[in-house]
Amino acid sequence: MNTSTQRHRISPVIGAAKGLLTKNSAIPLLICIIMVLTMSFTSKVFWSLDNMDSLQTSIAPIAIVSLGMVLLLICGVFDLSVGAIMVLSGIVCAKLFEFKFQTPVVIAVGLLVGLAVGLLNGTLVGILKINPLIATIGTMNMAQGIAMIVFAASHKGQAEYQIAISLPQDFIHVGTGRFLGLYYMFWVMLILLVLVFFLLRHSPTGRKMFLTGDNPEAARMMGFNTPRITLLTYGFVGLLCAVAGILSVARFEQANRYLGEGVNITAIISCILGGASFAGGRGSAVGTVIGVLLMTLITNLFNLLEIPSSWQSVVVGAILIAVISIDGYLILKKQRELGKI
Amino acid sequence: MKTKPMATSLRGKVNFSTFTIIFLTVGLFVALSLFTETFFSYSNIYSLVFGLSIQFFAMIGFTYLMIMGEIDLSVGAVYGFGGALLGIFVITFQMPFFPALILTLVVAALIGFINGYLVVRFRLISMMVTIGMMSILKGLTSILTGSLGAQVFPSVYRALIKYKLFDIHWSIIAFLLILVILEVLLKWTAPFRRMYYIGHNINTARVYGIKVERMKIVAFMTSAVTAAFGGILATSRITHAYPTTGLGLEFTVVTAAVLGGASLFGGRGSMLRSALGLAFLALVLNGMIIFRIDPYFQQVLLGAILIAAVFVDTRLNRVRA
Repeated sequence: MNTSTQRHRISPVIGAAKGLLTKNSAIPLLICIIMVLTMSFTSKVFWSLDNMDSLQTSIAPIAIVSLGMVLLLICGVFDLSVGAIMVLSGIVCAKLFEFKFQTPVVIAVGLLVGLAVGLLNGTLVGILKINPLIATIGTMNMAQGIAMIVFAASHKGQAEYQIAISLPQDFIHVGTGRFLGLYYMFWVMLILLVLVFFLLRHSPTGRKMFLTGDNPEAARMMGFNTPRITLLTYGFVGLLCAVAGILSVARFEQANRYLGEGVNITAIISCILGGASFAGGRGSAVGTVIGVLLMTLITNLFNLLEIPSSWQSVVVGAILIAVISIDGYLILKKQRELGKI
Repeated sequence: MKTKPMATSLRGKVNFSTFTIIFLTVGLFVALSLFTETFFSYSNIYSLVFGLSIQFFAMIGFTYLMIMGEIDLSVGAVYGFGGALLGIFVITFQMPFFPALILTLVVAALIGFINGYLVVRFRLISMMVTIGMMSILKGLTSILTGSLGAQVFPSVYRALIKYKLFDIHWSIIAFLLILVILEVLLKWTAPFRRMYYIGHNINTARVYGIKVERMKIVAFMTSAVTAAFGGILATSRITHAYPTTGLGLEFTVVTAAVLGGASLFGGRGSMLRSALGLAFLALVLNGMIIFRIDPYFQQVLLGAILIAAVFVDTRLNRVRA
């Protein structure tokens, strides 16, 4: 078998394309293409500039977070606090502008907040070995609570609304500025995609992550410092959440408490659609972005058809259950083949 | 190879996690009574226990699942969904109350069955399945409550929580009775003891002929049914369906169970201590309200308590292993 495939070697271009599109992400991509085609025929506004803009701004933040989440899933852990970190760093930034801080300082503080929460998650999960579900649910609630305390501090009585102070122009430019017709945040996403792709495929760090998730015992025996890998990955994810949060606040020119709602579930689903697994040791950068694309197109479809957002959470939940059931089935099959069960 | 029989026998007798929650709860109760003027009054404590008696229903099946090493994060969503669904049956479909109540509980049982079947059949991580279910039910609840608007429930629904025995709400008496019965069953009867064996070592349990899959599915169904019933009581108390009923309840419930000595690794936990954990959290919230602490800070503190409790749990289990 092996020799015959080597003899009929496919061209390097197709080989690279095959590497990019693993079997797992081919199906989501196909669904995406079908959805785009149907929407372009059935909806007049789908290809409109407004819709393209809104697609960009809804894809980019979730993709930035998901590209971090996939690293965690590869390490065999995950993070439910991503949305809360987005809210926290976004609200802290908006708050700092009330005290007339300079934009670079504010952005730096926002990023540090994200990094700090991420490192806290990493310490809890990686070093103190607390179950990632509980640890990140705990930090999620803490971050949300702190965000609301910061938020309500000067807005007694109107805590339900967004921070309505006018953000400085140079900060808003970060969110609304464009380069070659695409928003900055979309470029951030593309750069990150390339970065994570090379990290996973062509770097020793990526290899270590895969092994940490696939077989932690073996990773430890080979002398990898698995707690440190987990800690740093969580820190990186926290940083990415802060990036996503700050970009969203700058784009929408306001900070509100619903900023990161549901992002954690959407990000996890996107990663699993892209070939990642709760069992760890699997996942790809390109697949993850395709997963995000699919999830965003579904939301977009709902918006174009004017279906209430409550139905979206029903559909998202159903997709999550379907996706993890398939994931679980495949893991079970693999284990049966290996004779583990 | 005898290794300190003294120490092991002592450890068997003095199980610290058994008493920690009792000390914590009683200590906090005494402290609040001594240091605040408003806490130790009949009306305050009565309303505390009354609220507890409703929330406790969401705790019953959840504790069983924790003992078996599973978790059900959809309890809060089922809690909200149960009340809203019964409202739809009674108001929109004009159904008589008690058949509608039973139908709602059947729907809840079905939800629990789906959770349990998926977890058992595909060996999925139960928290992820139930997070998906949570998302589905939250969406459905907000659709249902949206269609109900602010319509007040018919009097028979509102009266459900108001029945009194000896001048005490029936839910409080039911709460205490159920608590004692379930604790006794869990401690001294074979069918319930099997849950601990499943939590301790699922393969050994299987070898000894315990029907692990069936028991897990039944526990998931129990969890959903009891949560839905709690939600119905809560909705009956606030007289109309409210979209945020049960919001964050899963968080409270898991914290309470872990405080009460249940372990994420399974094999430990008790109904009485879970209820005490719930009481401890209720006391913390009550104290924070008395001291006028920012309500958002409660969320921060609950998160911290949860992490601390699970950290201790993780440490204890590592020592045992």
